[in-house]
Amino acid sequence: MLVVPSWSLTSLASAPMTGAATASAEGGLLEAWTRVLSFQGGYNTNVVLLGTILLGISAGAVGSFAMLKGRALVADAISHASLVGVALAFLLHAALGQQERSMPLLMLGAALSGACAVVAIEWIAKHTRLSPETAVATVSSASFGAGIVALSATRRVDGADRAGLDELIFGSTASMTSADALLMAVLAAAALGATLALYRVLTAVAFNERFARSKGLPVRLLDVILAALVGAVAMAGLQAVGMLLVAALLVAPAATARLWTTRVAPMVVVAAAAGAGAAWVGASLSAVTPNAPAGPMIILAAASTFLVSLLIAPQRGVLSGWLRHRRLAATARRVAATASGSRSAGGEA
Amino acid sequence: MILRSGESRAPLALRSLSVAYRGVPALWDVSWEAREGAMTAIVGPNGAGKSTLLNAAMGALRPLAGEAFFWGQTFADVRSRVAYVPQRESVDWDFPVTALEVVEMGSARRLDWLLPTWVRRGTANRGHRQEARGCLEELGLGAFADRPIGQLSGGQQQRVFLARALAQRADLLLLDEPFAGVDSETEGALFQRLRRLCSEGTTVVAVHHDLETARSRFDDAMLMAGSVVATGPAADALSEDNVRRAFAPGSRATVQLA
Repeated sequence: MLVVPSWSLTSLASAPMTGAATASAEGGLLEAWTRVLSFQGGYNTNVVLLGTILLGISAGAVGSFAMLKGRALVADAISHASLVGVALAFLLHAALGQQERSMPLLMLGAALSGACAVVAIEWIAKHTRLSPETAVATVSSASFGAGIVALSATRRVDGADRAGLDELIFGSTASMTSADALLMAVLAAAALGATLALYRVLTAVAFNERFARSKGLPVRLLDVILAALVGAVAMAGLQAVGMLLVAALLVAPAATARLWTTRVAPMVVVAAAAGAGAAWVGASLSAVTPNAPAGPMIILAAASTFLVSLLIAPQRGVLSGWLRHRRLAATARRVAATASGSRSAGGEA
Repeated sequence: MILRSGESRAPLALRSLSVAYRGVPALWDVSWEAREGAMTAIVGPNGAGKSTLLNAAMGALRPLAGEAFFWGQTFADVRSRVAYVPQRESVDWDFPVTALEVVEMGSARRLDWLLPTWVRRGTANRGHRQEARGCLEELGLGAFADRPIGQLSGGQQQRVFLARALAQRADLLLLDEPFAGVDSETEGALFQRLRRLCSEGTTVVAVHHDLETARSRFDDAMLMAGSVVATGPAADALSEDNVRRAFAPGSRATVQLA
């Protein structure tokens, strides 16, 4: 039997957007949405929206390299592990008698436990015969279990700001202050900048690690840097997208971009654009729709883009592949028909 | 120039090199020298440690014991003089990169890695690109320069990798099964190209599977099965007798733990 933890229900209930909830009361949903989309939803809404878009850009770029390196799911492990860190940081904070939620402390907890997850994955992959995928899957699910246990422990703390913790799981842009958004934007921008600066080395290592090592590139260090970049995006997205869904924001835009492109540079650009678009549409929709948390809306937007791309992408899309196959089959049948025609004609002669 | 090995100036010299993977020996007490300007085939059964030998020599694997010297120096000192072509299977061929971009990775100097392409405008960059294009053309791939590598055939992919090695203008080529998946006509052309490099003084060391071509096309051979079975001129080292010994079941040296 599936037991839905109570925190998931409360977080869904506590997620309505305050920033533009008033806007939806004034006119139609579409009108309100257009207003937020065109950055006329008020200062705080704009700041949060812009910050989330920057997060999308950064997630697209960083996610591209994680995917090319074959480590897309590391983001998943980091986000699951950050559950543990956030819960422990929360408990520590409460034990020290603090009532207010401290975002930097929660982020620090998330970062530390995320780093532990990465170390565990790399250690298992290097020192055992298990495949890297198995290492990622094991660490990811183990941390999720640990995270749920740690979260249940936080429920026993009285008087503390539990709602704030719930929001971190599914993401909520409504409760974000301008300062929160700024912190997110700075982290996202730093990850983006580092990714662009290391563009060539990251590409070389992802493509052909042994060759990169023979050329003297610090392969191990670059692995650590890439994991740190993924971690930085995950931390940045903690509040807006939520711990459980931030991994999807790293993977979906990159997967979408790979369908449309055949080179790394265009892929990174398209992935960044797809991430930005998903953040823009998802966060603004969430702002005007009651009871629609931002994280899932952003991920749904990113997933829809992926689904459409999967169908209609020119080279690697399902439709184009199907059409190519049909055309080829028709030609093959025609060739076979003329061949058997001439063969029987030749046989009779 | 400081000679660390003291004695040998061979392009590649291994001294009692032993390597293990998680307690299982892959390479045991290998001592061997590559002759300058010669083409040497490294031959042996599957699991003989041929790829391990190349990787350990370049310091990608930490040996249990022993050392590898390049012209009497460590690999880190002479990196730019050595070009390495890894095994086909070690690469993701669906990677979004064009043939030309792969070759350009070969000619990249140290600083280039840190500068994005759009910064390195001007003649230096154009020279690079021109050089990379030239290497592709030399191997008959000029028309495929801007194709994603995933759209090339196995033999073409292998040639792209060789073009990348050419672009490095190295003095020593370390090739891990460079002719895997290459048709015999292309193989002949590649051998000619390598032969020309050798006549210009380049040393070629290639892990090679085919005994016939190993005897006929290479100067020297190093026959191994965990440890060295025979070395010397290809025809001698790869004598029927030696080959039978190396390929016999259980030929890999069993290690006596002291």
